[in-house]
Amino acid sequence: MEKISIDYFKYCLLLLILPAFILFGCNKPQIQFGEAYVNNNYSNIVLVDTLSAKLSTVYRDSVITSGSSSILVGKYSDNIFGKTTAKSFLELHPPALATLDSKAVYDSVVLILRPNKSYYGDTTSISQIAVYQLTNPLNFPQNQSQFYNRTDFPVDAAPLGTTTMLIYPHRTDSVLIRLSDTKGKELYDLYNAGDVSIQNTNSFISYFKGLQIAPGPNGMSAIYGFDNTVTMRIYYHLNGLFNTSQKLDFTFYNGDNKQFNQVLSDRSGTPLSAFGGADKEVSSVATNNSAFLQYITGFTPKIQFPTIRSLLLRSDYLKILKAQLILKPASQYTTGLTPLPPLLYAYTTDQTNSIGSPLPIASSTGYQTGSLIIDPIYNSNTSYSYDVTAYLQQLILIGYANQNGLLLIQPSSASISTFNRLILGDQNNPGGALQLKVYYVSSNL
Amino acid sequence: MFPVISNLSFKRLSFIILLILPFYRISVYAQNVTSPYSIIGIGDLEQSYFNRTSGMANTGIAYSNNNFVTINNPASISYLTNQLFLVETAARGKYVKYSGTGVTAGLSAKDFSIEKLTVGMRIKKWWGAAAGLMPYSTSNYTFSGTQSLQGSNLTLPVDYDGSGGVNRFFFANGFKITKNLSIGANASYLGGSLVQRDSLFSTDVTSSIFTTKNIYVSNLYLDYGLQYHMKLSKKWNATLGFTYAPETPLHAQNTAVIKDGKGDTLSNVTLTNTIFTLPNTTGFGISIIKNNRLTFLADYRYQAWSSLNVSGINYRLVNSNRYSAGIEYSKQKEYQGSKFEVSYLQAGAFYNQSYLQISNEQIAERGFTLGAGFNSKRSTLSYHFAFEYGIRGSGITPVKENYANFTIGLSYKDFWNTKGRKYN
Repeated sequence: MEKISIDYFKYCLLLLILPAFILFGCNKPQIQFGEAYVNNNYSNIVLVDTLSAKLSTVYRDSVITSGSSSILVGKYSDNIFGKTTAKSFLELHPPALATLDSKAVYDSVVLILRPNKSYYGDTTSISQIAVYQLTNPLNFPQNQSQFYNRTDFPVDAAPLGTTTMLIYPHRTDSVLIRLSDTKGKELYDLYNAGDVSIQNTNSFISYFKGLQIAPGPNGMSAIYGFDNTVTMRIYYHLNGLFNTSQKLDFTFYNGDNKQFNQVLSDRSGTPLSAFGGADKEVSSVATNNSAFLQYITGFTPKIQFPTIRSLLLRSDYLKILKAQLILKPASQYTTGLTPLPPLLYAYTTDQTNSIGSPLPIASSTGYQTGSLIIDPIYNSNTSYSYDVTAYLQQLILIGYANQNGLLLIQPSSASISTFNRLILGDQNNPGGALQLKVYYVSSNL
Repeated sequence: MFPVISNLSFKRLSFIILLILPFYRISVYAQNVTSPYSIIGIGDLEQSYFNRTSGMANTGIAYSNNNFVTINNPASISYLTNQLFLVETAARGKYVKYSGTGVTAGLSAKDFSIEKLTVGMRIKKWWGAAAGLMPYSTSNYTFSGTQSLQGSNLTLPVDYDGSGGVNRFFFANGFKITKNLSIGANASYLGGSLVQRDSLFSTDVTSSIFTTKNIYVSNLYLDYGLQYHMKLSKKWNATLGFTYAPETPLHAQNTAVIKDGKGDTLSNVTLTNTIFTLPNTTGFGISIIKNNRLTFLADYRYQAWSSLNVSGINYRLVNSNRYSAGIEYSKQKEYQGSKFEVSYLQAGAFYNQSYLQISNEQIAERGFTLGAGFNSKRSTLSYHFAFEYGIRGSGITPVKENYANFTIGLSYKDFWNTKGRKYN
């Protein structure tokens, strides 16, 4: 009997528990009653848009311009950034050596440039491009492996060739520059003779040095970008019943990373005339409530958050939940001739203004690029925005006075291969005020 | 002083209790039956004892039974049968249909949970004792609201979710003073957490904030009872019952934890302790019994909430009154000169004006119950079933609930291994 009772008990207990599992799984029904009885003061989200963001322009006299793989040539007179001249210095390597046919006859030599669609300035005017041969090889200064925007190398007084034409940057039609046949025949003969100076890249560079591609004396009204397929081509033909055209290509060489662009500016008479000569940082207050971006000519905007720690003084402050930085181009400077940088990284920096790492995207991999929104009609909503949540969450913890901030720079290759420029308004600029929106968790406990 | 429990018996009891205990109020994890009014006070006060009186609308201040623990009146415990050790458990399934403003048409909910575990025995001829665990109050609600994002003209959606409740661990003792008079005292520990969780969502900041407010209440709670049995005639007996519990403060420890969407704790604050007072409670009951088979019962329970002056926006706690009546018919068999119960049938009805007054309308409940039970022929098990149908609120209260409860009770009896009568 005792045994039975225990078994019975187990059996009945099962009966008791089973329905519990069968009935589980439904959701708690929501009934809209009770809002009057809850205390909302425990926690809330507060938006603060009155914290100051300090804007300044960091100017660097020297910017590294080697290694961009883009050939910048031209001149543009910008009413803000001044007159800028770009020249490109590059090396070529020779075609593979082969014995030419005995019936071969030299014809001509041209330099072929292919536009990479980037430009800065007025592309509707005629351009004159001149090609010079370097008199000295492109050698790095001691203990350096880079060239800067102000680096220069001497060239022959007379150009190897010039051309005057209309360049269409949006088409990729090649720009052809007829070069001196004296130089062309000289190279052809060396090749034909199998001369040691043309047998390999190093010997050819020692002999030929390289080229400078520059605006011609008649000037240009824009700076154009060309890709790294620069080719010096010698045409020849084989004598016969039908002339067959042949070619020898001396192609772009950058194995030693020595290609660079010289970029020189004359800012006299512009709002930026104070910049030049030495590195400096100038507050937006001193420059018409604006900060300037054109990395290749030395201009980088910096944003600092000097009053972020005032949040800690609020009794209800718990934590920054979200912080958004919205940057707008200052409307008083906008011009259609100069495209806005499509992508802008925000690099962390400190009082030295050295470039740290870009702000990452919070929810995935990669870096924030500013999510440019273009308002083509009114322009007033054109803006870049950054999620500075994690950045400010860290910054607010720093107890000592600091000049930490963010530097806006295009992703590295674009920063030294385009002249995209941007003039940002600070918080007091009516034509494009910077906004800092900080949402924090508040508690009144 | 206590009789020695045999090894076997003790093992078995431990087994039974350990088996049931983990399931006690298991539906804490899936309590679906929300009760919108339970946001106020310490939640809904449990009206059921989950015992043999559940089929009679929990009417039992003047009820006693040899084989069942009824703590409706602790004095009744003195009537337990000698040498029996009782283990009782009960579970309840609930089905509620909601109506009223703010309620989606046809909204309903159901859940099921083990609600009670009791052990009881008679220690001496004049002394019975029982101990157990049962709910005292329950808080369970969910609704959504809005909160303004300060510093902007935006509003944020908030989800509110209430859960938890107060449990009652009791130790009740009943004493026979004279042949007719019994008194009892029940010392309970009331303890539990009332939890409100606010989930603040914001698409604007693509983050959430979770605030959990926890009110942990606890204290000792004492209630007393008295039963007086009278023989009216050869066939008729009567019992008068009286219960009383003095005003008792519940100490409430309030904490609030604020977490963000990542689960980081932003704030963990212990707030000033508060006190939630349980009022003076009195109850009167009468039962009239014919031939020890047919029982008529009536109860009146009263709680003096009004004098505590608890009120808030749009609500007030007011005196509660509960009226109930029940009838029970017990089918018995004679065996070797003793009477044994084979089965029983019950019915009851109640009207309860709850302690809650919202917008000047006291929330009331009314309903009826049916009950049945039988004792196993092959074992010492008893089964108990109670059905309750009720209406809470009315057309003019914000929410009206039509509900059906089904309680299953299980009672297990075992003998003490004491000197005297041996069990073969």
